[in-house]
Amino acid sequence: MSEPQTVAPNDHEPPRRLHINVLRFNPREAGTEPRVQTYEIEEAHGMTLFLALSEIREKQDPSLQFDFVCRAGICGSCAMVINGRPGLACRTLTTQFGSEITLAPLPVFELIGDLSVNTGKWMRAMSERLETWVHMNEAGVDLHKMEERMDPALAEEVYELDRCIECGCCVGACGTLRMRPGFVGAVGLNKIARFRLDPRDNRSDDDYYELVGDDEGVFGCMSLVGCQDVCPKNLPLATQIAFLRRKMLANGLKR
Amino acid sequence: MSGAGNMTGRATVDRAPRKSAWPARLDLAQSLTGLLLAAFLAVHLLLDSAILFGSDAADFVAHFFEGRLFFGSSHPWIVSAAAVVILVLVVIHAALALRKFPHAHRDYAEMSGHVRALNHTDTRLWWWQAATGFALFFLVAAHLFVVITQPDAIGADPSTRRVVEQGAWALYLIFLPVVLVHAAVGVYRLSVKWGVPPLVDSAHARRRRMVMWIVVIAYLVLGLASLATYLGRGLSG
Repeated sequence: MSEPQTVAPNDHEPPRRLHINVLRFNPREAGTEPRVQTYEIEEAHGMTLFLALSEIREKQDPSLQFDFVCRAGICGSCAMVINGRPGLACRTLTTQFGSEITLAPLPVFELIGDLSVNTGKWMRAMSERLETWVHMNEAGVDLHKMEERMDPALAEEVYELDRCIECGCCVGACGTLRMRPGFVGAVGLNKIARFRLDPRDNRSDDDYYELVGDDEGVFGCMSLVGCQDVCPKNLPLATQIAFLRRKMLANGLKR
Repeated sequence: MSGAGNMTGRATVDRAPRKSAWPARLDLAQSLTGLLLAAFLAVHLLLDSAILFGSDAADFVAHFFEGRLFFGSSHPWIVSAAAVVILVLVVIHAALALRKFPHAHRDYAEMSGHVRALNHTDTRLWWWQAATGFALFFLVAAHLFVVITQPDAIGADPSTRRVVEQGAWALYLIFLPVVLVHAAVGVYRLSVKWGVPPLVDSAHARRRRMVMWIVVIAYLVLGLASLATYLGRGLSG
């Protein structure tokens, strides 16, 4: 795998002219076809793809659609395919690339328009399917009692996996999902791993097997590691899937 | 979950059906048969290279597998029987691996486009493993047919005849790199799949792949040297 090389900014040279090719399509505009439109802009110091796109939208083409909220890699809205690889526009410096940068919307998700996709719809369906919330016996909860303490090391482990921002990069990088659209994907399996760790969740491995113990779940993963290699939050996704696979195997063999 | 069942008016139990254990079993079986076959290949190719130490060494290996050390005489059926066991493993492994292949044009187009666009090593390795696996359906069948039907044709002179006069060198020349890549990539991917040892980061994966390629090249050199030795013996009469 070739890692993107950062080109050191040189103050003596004139700024580069960037050619940004955007795969554009608006499904709501009748009679239009997907097309690639190229925008030329001058590279600024410390420019991210988000800044470049904002400048294009502000100065050249107000019809260009892309999403952003936080501009700091926290909200996960600006995920897109950058020169073939899913990533966050706000966390990607233009200096990583040559003067030619090609942007496309994330695959798998429903296209809203241009670079904007409906990750929320997909993520919600995934959450409902995998029941990604803490399951506890609510009738047995005594509100007057102090909350059970959690070991700080365990809390740290839960938090580590909870850092997922549901940006959809792992979904876009997953070859398994491209071939088998019913596959739950790394984001879903990571959530199962997260709730499995949480002592407040009463579910057992028997319950988790019911959710992911098949070829659309953990056993469907073809270990392509695309998820882990593109995750902008550096989550150990392939490692978590392997761990979950061992646990689900042990449960499956007992059935 | 049983609500829909009740709507039909058929007798239903008030409990969601438990998920089958088969996906777990099949996943394990694919990994285990693959690992066994890779281990077999590693030993097989080492023993083939006995010819590098002369015809006596190759004959010794042949006699060992014909049971001469244990029974005092040659029993080639032992070789046939072992080859049948390997064939059974291959058939099981292939049947299980078929679950992962592209099934329709849509799957194929999606995956090949994805492999090209993503430009990502592990994704590309999977593609190569699928391609070599497909080729192995035919290569393994051809090889094992000969071994099962002519079990006594091992050892220095019979093997030389097979390689040179019967033209088996052409099969082996294609078979060797294909099976080596498939097995080595397979074992590497098994380590990633089961997290043994856990894949910490991409530098970790790179190191592991480096070891994998070293093993492939070492075995390729060894295998080609053995093949060249047989060819040399045959051509010089």
